[in-house]
Amino acid sequence: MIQTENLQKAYRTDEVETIALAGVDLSIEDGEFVSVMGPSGCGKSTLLNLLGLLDTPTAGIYQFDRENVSGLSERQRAKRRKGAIGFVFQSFNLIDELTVYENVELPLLYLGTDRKTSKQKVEAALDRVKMTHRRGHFPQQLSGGQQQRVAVARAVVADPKLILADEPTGNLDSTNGTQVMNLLRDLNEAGTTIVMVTHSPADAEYSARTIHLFDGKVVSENFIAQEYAAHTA
Amino acid sequence: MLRNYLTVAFRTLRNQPVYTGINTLGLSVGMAACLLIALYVGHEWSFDRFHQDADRIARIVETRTTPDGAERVAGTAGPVAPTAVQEVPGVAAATRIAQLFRVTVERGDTRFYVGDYLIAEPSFFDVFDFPLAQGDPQAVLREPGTVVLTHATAQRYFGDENPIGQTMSIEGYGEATVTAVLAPLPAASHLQFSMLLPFETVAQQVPWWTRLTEDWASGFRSFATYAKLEDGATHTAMAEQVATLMARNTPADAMPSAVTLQPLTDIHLHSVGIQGGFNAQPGNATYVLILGLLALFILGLACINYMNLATARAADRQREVGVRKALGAHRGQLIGRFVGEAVLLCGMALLIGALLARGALPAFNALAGTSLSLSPLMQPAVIVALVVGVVVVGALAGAYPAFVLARFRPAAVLKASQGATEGGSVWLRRGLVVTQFGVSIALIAATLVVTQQLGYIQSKELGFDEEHLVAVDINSDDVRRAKTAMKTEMRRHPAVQRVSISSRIPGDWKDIPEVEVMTPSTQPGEASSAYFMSVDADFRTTFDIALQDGRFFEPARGTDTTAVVLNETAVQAFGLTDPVGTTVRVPQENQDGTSEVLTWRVIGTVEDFHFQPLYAPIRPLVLGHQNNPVAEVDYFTARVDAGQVTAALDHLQAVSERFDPARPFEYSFVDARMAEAYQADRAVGRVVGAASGLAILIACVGLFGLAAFTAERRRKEMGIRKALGATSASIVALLSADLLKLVGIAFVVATPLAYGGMQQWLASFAYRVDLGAGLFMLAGGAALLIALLTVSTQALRAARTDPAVTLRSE
Repeated sequence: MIQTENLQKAYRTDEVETIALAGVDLSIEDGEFVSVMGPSGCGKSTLLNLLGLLDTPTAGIYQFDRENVSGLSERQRAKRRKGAIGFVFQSFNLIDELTVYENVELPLLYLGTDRKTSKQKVEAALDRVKMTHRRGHFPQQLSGGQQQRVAVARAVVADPKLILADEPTGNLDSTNGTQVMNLLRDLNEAGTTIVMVTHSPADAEYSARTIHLFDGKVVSENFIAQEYAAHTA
Repeated sequence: MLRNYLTVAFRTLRNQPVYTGINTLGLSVGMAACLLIALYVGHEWSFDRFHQDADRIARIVETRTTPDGAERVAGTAGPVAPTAVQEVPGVAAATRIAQLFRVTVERGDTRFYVGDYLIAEPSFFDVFDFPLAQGDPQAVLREPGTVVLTHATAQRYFGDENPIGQTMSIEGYGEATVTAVLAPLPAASHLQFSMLLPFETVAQQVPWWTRLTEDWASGFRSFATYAKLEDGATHTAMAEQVATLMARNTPADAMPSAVTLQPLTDIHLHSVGIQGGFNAQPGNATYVLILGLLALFILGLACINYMNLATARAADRQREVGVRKALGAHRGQLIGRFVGEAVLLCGMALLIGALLARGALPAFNALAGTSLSLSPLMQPAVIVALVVGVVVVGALAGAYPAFVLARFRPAAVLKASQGATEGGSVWLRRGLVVTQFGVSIALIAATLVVTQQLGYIQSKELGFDEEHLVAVDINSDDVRRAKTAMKTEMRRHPAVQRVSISSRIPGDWKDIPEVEVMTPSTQPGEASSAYFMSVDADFRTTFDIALQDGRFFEPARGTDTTAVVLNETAVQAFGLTDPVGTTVRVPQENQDGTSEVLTWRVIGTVEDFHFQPLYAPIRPLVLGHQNNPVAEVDYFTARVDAGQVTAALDHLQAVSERFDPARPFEYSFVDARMAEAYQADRAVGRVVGAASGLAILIACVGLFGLAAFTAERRRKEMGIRKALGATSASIVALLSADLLKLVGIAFVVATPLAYGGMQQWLASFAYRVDLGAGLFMLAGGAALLIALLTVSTQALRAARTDPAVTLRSE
C-alpha cells in the first residue's frame, strides 16, 4: 500500500532551513496497523501529512497504492485523497457549523455519492461508532470522546483503504481513549490499513508494528511478533 | 454540495452575530443608498426615452460667438424645420414648437391662467410619441380655432364632461374647439405642457406670426426645432447638412458659427449652458454622475468591511478549510463556498436594504428635492438586475477572502498545536482601511466646502437689499397700461414702503434681453453687449441700490424716456471715463421686421449689484426708462414692512384683482426666487452630506469590527503586558495607534484629491470661498476623532480585562 524511498521534507524561510524528514524508507502492507512514535519535533506529523497527501515531499519517492504520487499537483492529490484516505486528528477537527450527521456525510459529498447511498453509509458509520442517537447534535454539544468517535465515523464513511490517525487519543481521557483505540482496532481487523502517530506506548500496543523516528529518520522498528506474524502469514 | 455550503454559510452567519451584524448593517445601508440613488439616476436617465424613436430624434442647437464667448441657443429661425424635411435627405420628419405670451383661458365663468402651452404643427405627432386618449392624430393641429389638451388640463377644465367639441376662449388667440386630448404626459419628458395650439390658430390671430415662421433672417430664435432622422443617418452628418441648408438661406450676419444636433435623450441632462428652447425640469449630468459615484463609494466601503473582517477572521475558518481539503475538496470548491457565503450575506443585505430604502424614501425625496417612488424596482428586469447585482457585489466582496482562505495548506492548519494565523496580506487590509477613511475624509471635506460656499452665497452682499421684497407679476397689457395707477394704489397701504416697476428683477434670471451698445468712440463692428432692464424712477430706492455718479430716473423729467443708467461694469466695458452726459446707441430689431438705432443719454451710474446668480461675474447692465421699445415691464416690486407681510400681501392682491379681475394674483419673494437658483447645488450638498455621514458610519462600523477583532486576538499579549506592569492607558494607546495611523495616511492621501475636486466645483461660481487648510484639517480631525472613539472603546475593554483571566484562558 505504502512505499517510500528516501522521503525528505524541509521547510525553508528566507534565513533558515528546517529539515523535518531526512530520508525515510518505509513499506506498509495492506491491512497493517502501524504506529509512529518519537519525541516532539522528530517529524511524525510531517510523515503523516506526506502519507496523507496533505503535503508534498521535498525529495524522495512516495508510492501510494502502487502509484508514484510524489510530484502530484494539489488538485491531483485532492483527487487521490478523496475516498481513499481517512483522517483522525488529535483535535477532532469537526466543522462547528455542521451537525454530527453532516460532518460524517462530508467526504461522501466530495465523492459525489448519491443521497440514498450516502444516507445508508452515514447511518452505518454512525452506528459503528455508536453515535446514531447524536446525529442531529452540533460538535460543541458533544464530549471530547464523542467528538472523536464522530471523527472516526467521518474517517471510515467512504470506506478508505487507509486511515491516518494523528494522536487520536491525545485530547481524551483514558476511558474515551480506550474506546477510540478499540474502534481503530476493529476497523483494522475489518481490513483497513491504519497508520497512527502517538506518544502513548499503550496506544502503540494496539498496532502490530511501531516505527520510531528521531531527527527525521527511522531509527528502529518494533514488531509485536504474534500480531505481525498473524498479519504477514 | 450546494445545500451543504448554504447550510454552513447560514449557520456561520447565525453563530457570529457581531460579525454578521457589522457586515449586514454596512452592506444593507450601502444597498439602501444604492437603491435610492439608482432610482434617482434611473429617473434622470429615463427622460424622453418613452418615444419609440428616441434615439433618432434630435434638437437643433445653434452656437453663436459673442464678445463674452460662445453662446448656445436651442432655437432656430422659423423655416428651418419645414425646409430641412424637403431638402435634407436623412431627415424623416421635423417639427418646431414655440411659445408666446402667457394667456388666460376662459370657459364659461371660470378662468384659468396658462403659461405652459405650446404652439405646434401637425408634424409634432410625426416626431414625438405623445399618444392621444381622444381624437385623431392625423387631423389635429391642422385647423385654426382648435386646441389639443393634455389629460390633466382636460380634467381641470371639463371635469367628467367629454371635452371633445367643447369650446373655450383663449386670450389673444380667440375661440378654440377641443379636437383631441392627450394621454397623461410621462413625468420623464423634457416637454411638459398644458395644451397645444396649432400654428394656424396663432397665424389667424397674431399679425406678425406668419412672417416670423418664414423669416430666415430673424434674430429671434423663437422656434425649438426637432428632427427625426432616417435609420442610419448620423447626428453629425445631419448637423452638417442642416448647417449647409441654413447657410444657403440665412444672411451671413444672421448665421450662427456652428449647428449641432442634440440627441433628444440628452436634452434633460446635458443642456446646462444652452439658452432658450423648452426643458421643463432641467437636470445636470455632472450631479447624476456624482450621485452615482457616491452610491458606488458607499457600497464599496461596505464591501471593504466585508473583505477586511473576513480575512481578519480567516484564522477562525482555517480548520474548516483544512478539514474540507483533507476530505477531498479542491480550491475551486472552497472558493465557491466562501464566495457563496458572501453572496448569501449580500442577498440578506439587499432585502434589509430594500426595506431601509422604503423607509428612507420620503427623507431622500425631501433631501434631493425629488418625488420618486419604489415602483421601478418591482419590474421583472430590475429584479433580475438586482439579483445579478447581489451576485456581483457578493463575488467582489467575497473573492479576496475566499482566495485567502482557500490557499491555506491543510497540513499547516490541522495540527492542534498550530497557532491560528490571520489570513491575507496585512498590507492589503491596511490599504483597504486607508481607502475607506480616505473616501470618508474626502466626503466630509466636500460637505464642508459645499455648506461653506452656499452659506457664503447666502450671506454675500449683493449690492441691493433682497429681503422683504415682494414681486408681483404683470400678466396683461391691461395692467401695463394701468401700471402707474396701480403702483399708486399699491403704495397706499402703510405696510407697503416702496413700489417699483421693472422688466426684470434679480431672481428672474432667464431671458434678460441683451443689447449691442455703441459709444461715441466705438469702432464699427466693435459694439459691446450688455444686459438691459426697463425700470422706473423708484427702482433704485426700492431695491436699495447705491448711486455712484449722476442721478437716477426722475418722474418729473419727461426727457428721461431716452435716458439710461449704467452699472459700474458697463462703464468699464464700454471704456467710458466720464459716462454721465455721454450718449450710447443701440440697434434695435422690431418684431414686425423693421429695425432702428436708438440713441440714449447716460444720466447716471449705479454701483454693481448681482442681478444674476453668483455663478457668473457681474456683467454690463443698462437700465433703461420703463417706457422704451426694448423690453416691456413685467413686474411690480414692493418693499414691505417686515412686521406686516401678510397685510401687505393682502393689499397687493386686492389692488391687483381690482385692476385685473380676470387673472389670478401671482407673487413671489425676491430672496426666495434667488435661492431657487442654487436649489440643485443645495440638493446635491444635502445628498453629499448624507452620503458622507453614511460613509463614515460604514467605515467606523468596519473599524469597530477590526478593533474588536484585534483586541480579541491580542488578549494574551495584553495580559502578559499587564502582568509585566503596563497601564491601561498604554494598552489603549498601543491598540489604537496602528489603526489611527491608517486614518492619518488616509488624510494625507485624500486631502489633495478632495482639494482638486472641490476647486473644480467651486470654479463654477464666479464668487467663491477660499479653500483654506483649516477646512481639510477639520475633515481629517473629525474622521480621526470618530475613529478614535470607535477604536478606543474596544481597546479600553481589552485593557481593563484582568490579566489573570486572559492568561488562564490560554
